[in-house]
Amino acid sequence: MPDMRSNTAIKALFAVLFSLLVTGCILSLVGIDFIRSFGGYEHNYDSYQQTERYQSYLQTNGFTAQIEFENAVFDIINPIRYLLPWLCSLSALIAVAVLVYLLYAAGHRPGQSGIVLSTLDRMPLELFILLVAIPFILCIAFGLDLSYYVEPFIYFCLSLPLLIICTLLALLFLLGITVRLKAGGWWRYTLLYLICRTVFRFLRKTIGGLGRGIRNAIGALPSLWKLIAGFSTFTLVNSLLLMAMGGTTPGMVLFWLPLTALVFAWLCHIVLMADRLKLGAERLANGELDAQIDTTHMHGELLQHAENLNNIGHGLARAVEARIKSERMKTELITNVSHDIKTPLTSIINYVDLLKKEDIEDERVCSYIEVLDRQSRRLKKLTEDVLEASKASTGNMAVELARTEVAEMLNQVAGEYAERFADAQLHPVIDISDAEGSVIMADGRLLWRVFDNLLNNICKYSQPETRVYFSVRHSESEVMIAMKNISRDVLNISADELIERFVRGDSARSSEGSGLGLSIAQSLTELQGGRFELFVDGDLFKAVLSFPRCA
Amino acid sequence: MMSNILVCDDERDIVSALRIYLTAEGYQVFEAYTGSEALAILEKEDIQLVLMDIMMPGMDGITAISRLRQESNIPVILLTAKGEDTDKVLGLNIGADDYVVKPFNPVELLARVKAQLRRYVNLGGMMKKQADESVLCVGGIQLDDAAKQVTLDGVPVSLTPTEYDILHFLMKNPGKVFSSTQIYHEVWQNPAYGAENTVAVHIRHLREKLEINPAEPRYLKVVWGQGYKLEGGTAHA
Repeated sequence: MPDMRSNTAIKALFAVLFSLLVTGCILSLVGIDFIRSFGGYEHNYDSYQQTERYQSYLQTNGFTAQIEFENAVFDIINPIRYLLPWLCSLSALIAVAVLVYLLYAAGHRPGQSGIVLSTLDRMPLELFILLVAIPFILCIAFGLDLSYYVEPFIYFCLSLPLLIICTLLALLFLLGITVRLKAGGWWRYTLLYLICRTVFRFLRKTIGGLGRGIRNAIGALPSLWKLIAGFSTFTLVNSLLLMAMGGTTPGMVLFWLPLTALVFAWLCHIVLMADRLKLGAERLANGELDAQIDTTHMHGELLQHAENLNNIGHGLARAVEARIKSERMKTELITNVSHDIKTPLTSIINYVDLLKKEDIEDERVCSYIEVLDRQSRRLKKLTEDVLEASKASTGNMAVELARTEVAEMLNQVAGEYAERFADAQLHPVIDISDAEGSVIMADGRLLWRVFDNLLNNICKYSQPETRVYFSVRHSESEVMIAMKNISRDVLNISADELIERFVRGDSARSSEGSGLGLSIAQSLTELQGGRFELFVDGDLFKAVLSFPRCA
Repeated sequence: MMSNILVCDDERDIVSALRIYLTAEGYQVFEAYTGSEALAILEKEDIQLVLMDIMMPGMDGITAISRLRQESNIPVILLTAKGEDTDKVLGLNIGADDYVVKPFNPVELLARVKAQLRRYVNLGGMMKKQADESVLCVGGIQLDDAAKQVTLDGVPVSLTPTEYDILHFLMKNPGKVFSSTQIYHEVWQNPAYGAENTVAVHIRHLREKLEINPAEPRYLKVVWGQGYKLEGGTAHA
């Protein structure tokens, strides 16, 4: 079938055949009409001469040629007059069949599948119709007009090709329309559509651009100007309305009230959304980083603001998470490393101890061993302190808070340190006269570590034969424990710097210790909810621990 | 009596250092480098005490001790680089009697070994003595009020009269926390006016005499900010 449909030769042949058939059919019809004008099928010249037509011909002079021609035609047709209806219907039938085939095959081309549009098919429908209709109408008009000027025979000879041309044009028209319908979207190839589309596009571009431009211009305005512009417009419209209505009650009800209500509702909406933003920002500020502001029903700048806040929340949450993770990894690393250091350190300490037990005469060797002993102990202390500082500063430590009597605590601490004070020639002065009711929530073991670190420093760095003052003071809400001592060496370093990890006064550089003591003491105090402060005033060194007072 | 001690640690240097210390004290030392080696030796030999490392390749110390505990109740001292409280609790719960954190002081370790051995060997005798009313007993501490004598793991401890009175008072009420004021009031029979830290000094001396490591006491514990108490627990976890 595709072969049949796309065979151009067959199609051309069939087209010619179709036009001939239609022409034949028309000619047959004309013949039948002609016979009928002679008075039906049962007639002869005599009866013909009785017809009105013949009489009129006779009366109008100069139509003899017409009569002669008609007589000649009559002579030809008359013998076959019974065949004419059959000829007409047969040619019509075949013509229809051929037409059906042609319509069916329309649009198919050899070697190409589907419907292919020709140049003619692509031209706008209106132009196509004109292109076909103009010659068609011209042919018809020419044909009709011709009959008045030329001899009947010549007229017949000339009108025959005109008729064929007309049928061909009609066929072309039918085929063209069919192909367009078959291909689908026929309206796309119409002038109307093209014009509409162009106009629409142009309108959209200009209006859309204009609208966007206006919106952008408004969006770029500062909020204050927007408010001023909006409010001015509102006031203007309102006044115009009032003026137009003349302040009459129906006008008020019809225009002024709805407009005012609308503006009021809009203002309420903005205030509600602003409240939502405020609450969201408050939650963010309180550290609820996963707090999200509901952005439904938000528009314009409020929406932008809400989204920005939400993004801040996301960003912060991510940053905090990353930081917690890295802190935890750091603590884990320090823990693991210090465990790994402890094992070889055990061997070093043990074998140094074994060396010390050997009977060594050489004093130099003995002094070397002494250095090894001292330094290995220092290393041990350092590993322990690093581990503790890391755990304390990251809060990676169990804190069990319990009611703690500060006076009792100070007595216990002073008792623990009695001998070391005596060794360092220091005289402790403990003032707990105000200690009544000085109860705090603290973890005794951690608090002892704080005191231990502080007193250790005091014993190491105090000027001998001076007093060390301990005092407890309390206010309504706080209990303050102060420790004061006189430094043996010049304190060439600020209090803040002293707390920094691994920072020590110059004189302490060479002595034992890790430089972590004060940092650990601060972290541990803060872990228990307290505050750790150091003050340096000349040679006076003062440490103050403040804890919330327990009722 | 010469005791057999099993030392188990994957660090050979530590094992040989311990062997030197322990042989110097007259103990027979067996060496193992993994948990399974230790268990094998324990089956063959007559061992009185085990020093066991926790982190070892193959079978670790915790597993080895839980296996050992199914068979025997000989004293076990853990040697560990892990100083975390949770590790200590785990070790003691699994059946260890004591532990020493690395890097340890050899003197302290030897003292703990001796204490554990004395308690293991004298355990039966102590049970019998407890029937006597004038004898108070908390953990390895015995106080014979009739003889005014105190022994720690069977070894006499010399105390001053004040220290003795404080200890006596605390042993009568084991596990209870007393503040310095209460202790002063009980022992001195006087109200304490600003003399509380005398109690703290005496307690410190007492602790130095009774504890192997006074910084981590087993019996005489400081409850910071509240007072002191005497407990019979194996350790200070």
